[in-house]
Amino acid sequence: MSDRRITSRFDGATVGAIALVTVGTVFGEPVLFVAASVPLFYLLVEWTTRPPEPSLTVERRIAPDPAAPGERTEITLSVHNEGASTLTDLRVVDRLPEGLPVDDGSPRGCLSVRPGETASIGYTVVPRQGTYAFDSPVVRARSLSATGIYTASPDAAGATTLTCRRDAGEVPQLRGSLRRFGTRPVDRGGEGLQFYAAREYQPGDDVRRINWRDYAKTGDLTTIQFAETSATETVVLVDATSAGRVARESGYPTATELAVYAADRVVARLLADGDDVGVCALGIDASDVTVPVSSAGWDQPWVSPGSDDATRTRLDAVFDALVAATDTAAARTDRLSTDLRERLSARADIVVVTPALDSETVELATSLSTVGHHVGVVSPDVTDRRGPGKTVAHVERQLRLARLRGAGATVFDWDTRRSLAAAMEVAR
Amino acid sequence: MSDASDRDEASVPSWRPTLFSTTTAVVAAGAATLALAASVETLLPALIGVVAGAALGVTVIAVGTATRRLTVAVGGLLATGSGLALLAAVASAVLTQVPWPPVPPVEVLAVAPFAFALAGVATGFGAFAAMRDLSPLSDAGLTAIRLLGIGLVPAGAVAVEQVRLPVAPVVDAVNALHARLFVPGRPPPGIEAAFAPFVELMALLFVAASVLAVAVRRVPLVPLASESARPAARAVQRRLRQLCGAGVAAAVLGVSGVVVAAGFPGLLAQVPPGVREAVPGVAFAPLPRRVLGVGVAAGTATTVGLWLIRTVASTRTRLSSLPVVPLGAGGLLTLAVAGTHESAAAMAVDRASSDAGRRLLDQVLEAFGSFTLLAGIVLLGLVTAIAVTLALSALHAIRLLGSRSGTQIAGTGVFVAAVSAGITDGAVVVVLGGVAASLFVWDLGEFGATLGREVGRAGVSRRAEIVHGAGSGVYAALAVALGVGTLAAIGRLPSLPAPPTTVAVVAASVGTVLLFLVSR
Repeated sequence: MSDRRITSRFDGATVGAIALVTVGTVFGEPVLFVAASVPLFYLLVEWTTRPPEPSLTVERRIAPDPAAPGERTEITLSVHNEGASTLTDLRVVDRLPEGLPVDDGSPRGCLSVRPGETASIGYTVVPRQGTYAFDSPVVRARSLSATGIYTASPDAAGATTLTCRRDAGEVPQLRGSLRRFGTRPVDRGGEGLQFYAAREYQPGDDVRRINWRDYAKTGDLTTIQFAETSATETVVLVDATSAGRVARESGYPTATELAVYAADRVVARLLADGDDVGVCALGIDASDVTVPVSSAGWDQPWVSPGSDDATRTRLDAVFDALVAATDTAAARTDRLSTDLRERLSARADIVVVTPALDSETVELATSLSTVGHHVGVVSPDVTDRRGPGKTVAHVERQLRLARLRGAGATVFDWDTRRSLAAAMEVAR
Repeated sequence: MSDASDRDEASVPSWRPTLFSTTTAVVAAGAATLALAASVETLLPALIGVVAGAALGVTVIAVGTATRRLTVAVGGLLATGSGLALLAAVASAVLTQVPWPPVPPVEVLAVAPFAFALAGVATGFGAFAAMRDLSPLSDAGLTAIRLLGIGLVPAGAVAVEQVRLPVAPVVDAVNALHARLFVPGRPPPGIEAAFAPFVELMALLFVAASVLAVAVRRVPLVPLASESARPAARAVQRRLRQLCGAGVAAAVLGVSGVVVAAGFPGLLAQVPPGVREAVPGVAFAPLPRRVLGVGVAAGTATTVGLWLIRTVASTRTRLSSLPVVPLGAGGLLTLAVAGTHESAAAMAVDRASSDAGRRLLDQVLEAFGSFTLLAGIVLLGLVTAIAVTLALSALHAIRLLGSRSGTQIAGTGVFVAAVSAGITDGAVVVVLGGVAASLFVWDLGEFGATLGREVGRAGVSRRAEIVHGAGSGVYAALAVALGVGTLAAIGRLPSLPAPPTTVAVVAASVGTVLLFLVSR
């Protein structure tokens, strides 16, 4: 559906012409009469102008699609001028779905497009988990004099929906600060990363393991052995308590959503590496999960470490329940701390995923670290320093993370303006 | 296509007119107005007008749209400055035609310099209004209301100067009271003569103790102390209040003793001689009285100061509604006038270009006084600024100005300058160029404004703005070419019998075309 109209944009020129003729008459100045031809020219332009009739195709591209929660997603709206005349003033507005915040750029633009040329506007959004359907964009073309206006809402080719899923995006590599999770060195030479010993070369040894430097010095072939690692249990503790219902900006994913996403990705990586993984979730009850799961502490959902399909199903159900929960409870970790210590085996590692916006979960992680468990912390950061209140929250969070580091925990502070995979890649 | 007005986001910087188009339009407006004025050698009124208009624009931004008291106070001073600049623009239009001071009878002055001053004001104000997307109705109207408060202090000072309010008797009474209370003189012999001064002293003690008791109660000594120091602070405050209470009790007892002694002379005779000799000494001693006077002043200052701090810091106090800021700005202006009126008057007399003018100035200064005249000029400047802002609101109310019409005003300024150049026998091309420039400014400014509402400053638009600006420039050039061509065509026509006939013929032609276009 389109609309064409002519505006009375140069009404002021009429007033100007009349004023010039009047003043010219009063003062007897012929030059003012002649000057009236200038506004008359503008009126003639308005009179002869017709609304433009553009021939356009519009295409929308979304990358990446699907996107992960909080992932910067670039949207490009391209307009191709298929007509024979230049569109000097083409205003384009991409109509965003409700609740999809723009992080950078603008979904609006004014373009000037020659025949056969393609111009585009681009912007970045930060989606929450869900599906977003875009309306058709609005285009408005104005003539060079801007008196003729054409407005339409052509259908856009390409992507019309943006899907944001927890399992989207790359699975982060845990080779950086979290590389020790899920594996533990044993007193035996073999495959691994850490140097264990050197022994005499035996036929069949991998040629890449030969110590060529030693061979150059002594002429003897030796093979390097690395400390072998063994799989362990890892329990992922997800903090989705009420303190995490804050976001970096209005409409952005909350700290809880980002924590659940990070937990899901860490679990996916550990399972992919063949480790046994369990989950304990703070902020919901076991009864909130759609499949039967055990409970720990104050009825918090507990999935025992495992790597089979049933465990994976239960883990997904817990994560879904966390995302769906709108009224998450405050953290109650007193009974949980004791309960977890009883449930966890001595060789279990713990990854705590928490925005660190309150002290309860931090205290729990600290207590688990002090009893000998290897504790890692993945902490999505939604704080900043814009304003005194936010600065205080930011500093408090930093102090909590420092306390965790002081207790021996390995802390990965995730700047949520970057993707989790990219941020972890940098942290290696 | 939705625009900013749909979402009430016009005040958000992102939805203001786009920078490139608006800046280009504004720069073109300023350059065109000043160039037109310079072409007919009337630059000064236009230049001062541009400065005055710009100052008025900044004033409206500071007073009408800002909520901080400091900006409101600065805006108040700026308003006076912009008003004075407005007056200066008019004065410069006068003084380019007659010598200082104008001595009656003054001949009829040319209109063009005043029109150039007006053009400068419109251009300067329009430029700032366009850049900040000011609304003449809400912003300028609010400015006028806030500025009214500033004029109260200088107006009051002028009233005191002219009406001769009975200030002296009040000052005399205060001096007499001060002398009686704090300079008691030598004690006369006999205890009876010391009764009245003693009662005065006791009254002073009563007032001082009461005022200090209130002050001690109001001082937040305990909340300000650290946790460990709070018991000590609480004890100190309790002790001070006890001392004040003791002072009040002593004053009451002292007065009661005097009453009893005066009513029962027999009892007075039984008073020990030492006491009888000490009472006049104490009653007439200046030191205790001065100490008590300091106590009264300190207690009052503490109580009032704390009240002021609490009022200003309170979240319930609306900053914009405080009259302190406009009154303070008015007070500053009055102080400035008080400090400079004599030298300003001397300078005005020195610069008189004739004896008649000097005599006129002397007579005026003698009749009104230099303070009243300078304060009157300051007030006139303020009133001028208020009148201009109210006029802008009125123009919007009668729909002659749009809701956000900065470039419209700036374009009008260029147009007025072009007309002024026309009636000052400016070159034809210059006048045609001026009229075309006014339409260029208006066109580009309106383009930037709609772009700001529909796309916003965050959106991509630079290339389209350049294309539109270039196109608008081409239109303006073609319009000037049409005018020059029309003039050349008229020059080739056979000469008509008389100039009025020419005027009538051209007017009829233009009028016919206009009627045709308007009625289409």
